[in-house]
Formats: sequence, structure tokens, C-alpha cells
Amino acid sequence: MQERRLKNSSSSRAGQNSPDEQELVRLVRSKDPDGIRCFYDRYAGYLTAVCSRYLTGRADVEDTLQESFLQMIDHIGRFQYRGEGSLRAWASRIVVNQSLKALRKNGRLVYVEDLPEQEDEADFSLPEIPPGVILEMIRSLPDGYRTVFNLFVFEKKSHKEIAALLGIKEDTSASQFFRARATLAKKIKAYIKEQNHE
Amino acid sequence: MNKNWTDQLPELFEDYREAPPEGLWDAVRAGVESRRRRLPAAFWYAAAGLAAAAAIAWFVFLRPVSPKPAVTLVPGGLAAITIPEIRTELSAFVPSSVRSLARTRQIPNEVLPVIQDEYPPVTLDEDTPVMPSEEFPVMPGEDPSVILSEAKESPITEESPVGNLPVAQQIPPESVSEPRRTFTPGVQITLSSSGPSQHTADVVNGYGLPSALFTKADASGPSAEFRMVGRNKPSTTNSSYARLPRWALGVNVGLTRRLSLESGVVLSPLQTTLTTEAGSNRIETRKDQYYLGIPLHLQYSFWQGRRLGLYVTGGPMYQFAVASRVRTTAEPLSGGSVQTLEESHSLLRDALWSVDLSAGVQYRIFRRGSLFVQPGVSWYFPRADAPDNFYSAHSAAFELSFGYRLRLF
Repeated sequence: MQERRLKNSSSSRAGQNSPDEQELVRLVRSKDPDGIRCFYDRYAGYLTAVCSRYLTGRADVEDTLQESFLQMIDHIGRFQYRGEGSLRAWASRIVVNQSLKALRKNGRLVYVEDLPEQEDEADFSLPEIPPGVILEMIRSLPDGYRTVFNLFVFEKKSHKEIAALLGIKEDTSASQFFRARATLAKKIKAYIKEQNHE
Repeated sequence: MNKNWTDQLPELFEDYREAPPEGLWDAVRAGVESRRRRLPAAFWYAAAGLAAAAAIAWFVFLRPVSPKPAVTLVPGGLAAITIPEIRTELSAFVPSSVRSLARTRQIPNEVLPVIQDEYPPVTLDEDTPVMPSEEFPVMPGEDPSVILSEAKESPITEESPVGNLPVAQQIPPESVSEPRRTFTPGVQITLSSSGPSQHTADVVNGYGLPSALFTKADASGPSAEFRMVGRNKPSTTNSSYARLPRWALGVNVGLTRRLSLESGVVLSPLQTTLTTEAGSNRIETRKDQYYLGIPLHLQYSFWQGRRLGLYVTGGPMYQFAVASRVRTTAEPLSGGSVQTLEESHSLLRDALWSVDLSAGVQYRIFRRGSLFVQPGVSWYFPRADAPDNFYSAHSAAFELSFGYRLRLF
């Protein structure tokens, strides 16, 4: 029996005729090589952005994404389809969990407890700033700030949930978030000011 | 002033993509192919199940016949040993040529093993009818090997009036073989139940309905509408995780005199309830899950009295979800009827490993039946993608099992 191998080239049947999420799940569940390639092509970019919000090192991002994709392919049988977008949300949760695991493993989660930063009035409009620029600003935050900020803003976790997830106090989570937000607001204002001068 | 500018971020990043790291696809592809070459877990479970079934079948159908010499009481104060029944132990004293002799030989009463006082004394006279064959029972606390060694010390002598029966004296002592095993392998059926275990998590105060509700935020339907209604309202959430009484049916196979292997099936019902009060409404989501577990436990009996026994048992258990139901209801706090928003019976797939360790006390109430009580702890291996239930809320849980063991042989 001829062994079916995953295609190496980026052009695949899946890329030509893109299946919907339910069909994609079925293909990945049956370990169809084209289905796996299609799944990767469709979500790799989005999940790289998600992972890059938590991890700054390129090697860490690559390792975490690799492990996440393997977890998704292995455990796709546990995914329950709940409408269009649910597969992406499920994949995103796995990437976030793996990213947190990588942060814990590397012992990077240090929560800086300095004086709270005073937040200035946020008189800017976010849609005018490219998301890539904001992502770089988020990535420049200290690990503790960045992790709490991401969990609160993007994953919609409460401080209680974040505290339980990271093994910290609820107050610590709240203070890390406020410092992260204040720092980020300053960076955004500085960026806008710089753009206006140019 | 725009204090909530962070709320715009998720929308801003909704369609944002970054270029994946170079070589990521190659790494994923290599990982998938290397995992594909590994034997699937199902293969190992099937292999373990077949091995267990083969072991049980061997003990049931092919095990060596345990020593069960039969004694027939006959009139005239004499007893007879039915020769074909003498196999393992007594064959050490009776050469194989005896088996070709007449089936019944008379021997005096004094060489018969002493029958314990639990059995009524038998008066032998002319009118005593021939009794049916009765096994030599191994009495509680007796060791078959001790009985055997006692028998060796007082073998049948040349003077014994056994007619022309060849006697042990004719057999060199060194040729007397030891019995092949010094214990009788036993098989027990176990039916047990563990008490319920409940944990109520802390109350969570926040805004809106928590994302932890089992129905997803992107789900459509009444609960999604309800979630939108409560979105920016202060909320209080109570979460409760419970494991209802679990039931187990097992088979225990003796390996040595003290060690035995136990396996079977364990049914564990879990119940998870999240109750959130937001605005003027209360929403409750209850998830019932049923897990079927296959334990593989080693049991070590470290003390055995006439009736009472103490043992420890432990080992891994693989559990997987076999049924589930999620029900979401809403109730106006101002009063009014409870409204069912969603009800689903679809299976929430999950599987996990646990390790169990217990100590038990067993009391024999009948010849073959025992009651036992078995307190212990279980450790559930945590997983990042585990569903929200009792197992994910508790890595370790105490349990108290009790049940009945029936010894088949």
C-alpha cells in the first residue's frame, strides 16, 4: 500500500478548493494530508499573531506553534463544532494554553511590583494605527504585564480567572493590567505624535 | 476621554495575521508523520485487554488442578481415598503405578487427616450410609504447604495395612517432588460503590456572564441572547463540581499468595453547575457527564486472619466520557417560571488517566463472600484542554469505597 505523505509544497488541493470548517474538521480527523495542509494554511497566520502576543522569541513562537498544531491534529476528535469561527476559537485557545505553558516553563513570568503608572487621557483612535505596530508595542511590555494584558483583553478572562491560571493574587493581576494599559497608552501616544511630526 | 480603548483591540486584531516562522510547516509535517508511525493508543488498550482476558482464561480453564483429595466414608470404621482424585500433592507419595490399581483402597481412620471441629463428628457403624465424596477444605488460617509438610513427616509406613499398596518408603526421599505451587489461584468478583465527593468553588464577582459557561460565546440561540443581555451587568457566579457515587464491577486474579491483579469497569457520574446572577436574571448551566474507567490495580494482602484481612491496592486507571448532557435554564429573580434555554445530549469527548491508591479492610462473612471498606485517594493528571468538571477542578480526590467480593474458586 502506498503510504500517503503530507505534501511539502504550498500548493495543494485544499488550497484550490477551500472546504468549510466542518469539512476541514472531518478531513483533519481522518488525518487526510491535504486536509491537514489546508488547516495549517488557513490558521497558521492568525495563530502566529496570537502566539506572538504572548511570546517574544522567534524560536519560542515556532516551538509553541509546532506543539500546538500537533495537539490540535491529535485532539481534533474532541472539538465540537458550534458554528463558523468555533474551530478558530478552539485552535486559538490551544495556542494560548501552550504559550502560557512555555512562559511558565522558561520561568519568565515575573510580576514587577513598582508604583502604579498614572494613565493619561486616552485621546487617540486605535483604528488609525496598524495592528502590526500595536502588536510590537504589546510585545515590548514586560512578560508579566503582557501576559495579564493579553488574557484580560483578548481572552476576556476576569482577574479572578487570571489569578487562578497564573497562580498569582487577584490584586496582582489587576495592577499588572493597569500598568500594562498605562504603558501601552504612552507608547501609542508617542507613536501618534511621531507620525504627526513626520 | 476614552478609558475603554482596550475594548477595541480584539476587533482590531480579528483578521490580523503574521507570517508563520520559516520551517514551521516542515516541523509540523515531520511531527505528524512521526506520530503516525507510532502505534495508536487504542492498539495498546486492546493489547492490554487481550492480555488480561488471556490471563483470566488461563486461570479459569487451564490452571493446574489444585489438590482436592476426596474421602469417602464407608461402613466398618474404614475410609477410602478415591485414587483418581489424588493428583498434585498426594501424588508425591503415591507412584503413578498406583493409578492403574483398583480405584478404591481401604486405609485405617488414623491416617486420615483430622477434620476440623467446624464439621459435625461422624459416627461410623454398620448403619452409616455411604457418604458422598467431600473435599478436604483448606480451613481459614491454614496453609496448604504446612499441611503438606506435616503429611511428609508422617508418611504411610510399610506396616500400614493398605494391602499391596506401594508405600512411600520405596520412594527415595530426594525423588519426592515439591508441589508446583503453594497457593491456590483465586478469582474474585467485586462489586463496589464509592461515596459522592463535592466541592463548591469560590464565588466569582465580575461583569457579564462568564466565558466559563459551557455554551460558547459564539453560539447562537436563546442562551447567546441571554448572554448579550447580561453582558455589561455586574454578575456573581457560583460554580459547583461534584462526583456522584461511582459503581464498579471488577475481577481479581491471584498472582501469588499475597499479590493479585484487579481490573474491571468503573462508572463515574460527574455533575458541574454554574449559576450566574446578572441583572435581574439567574442563569444556570448544568453539565452531567458519565465516565467509564478501566482500572489495572495490583493488590497486596499484608495481613490475613481467619476472617479479617488488610490489604493495599493501587495502580492506573484510564477513563473516557461515554455520555453527557448540558442543560441551561434561566430564571427571573423577580419571580417567574424557570425557562429552559438549551439542552444538549451530545457527547463531550474526553479521556484521562488517573492513579489510585487505597488501603482496605476485608471481612469474610460467608465461605466465599467478603465485605470490604476501602478508603483511598485518586490523582487525576491535569490537562490544559480538559473540560471544566470535577476532574479538572481537583487533581486529587479522596474516596471511600465499599463493596462485596465473591470468591469463585
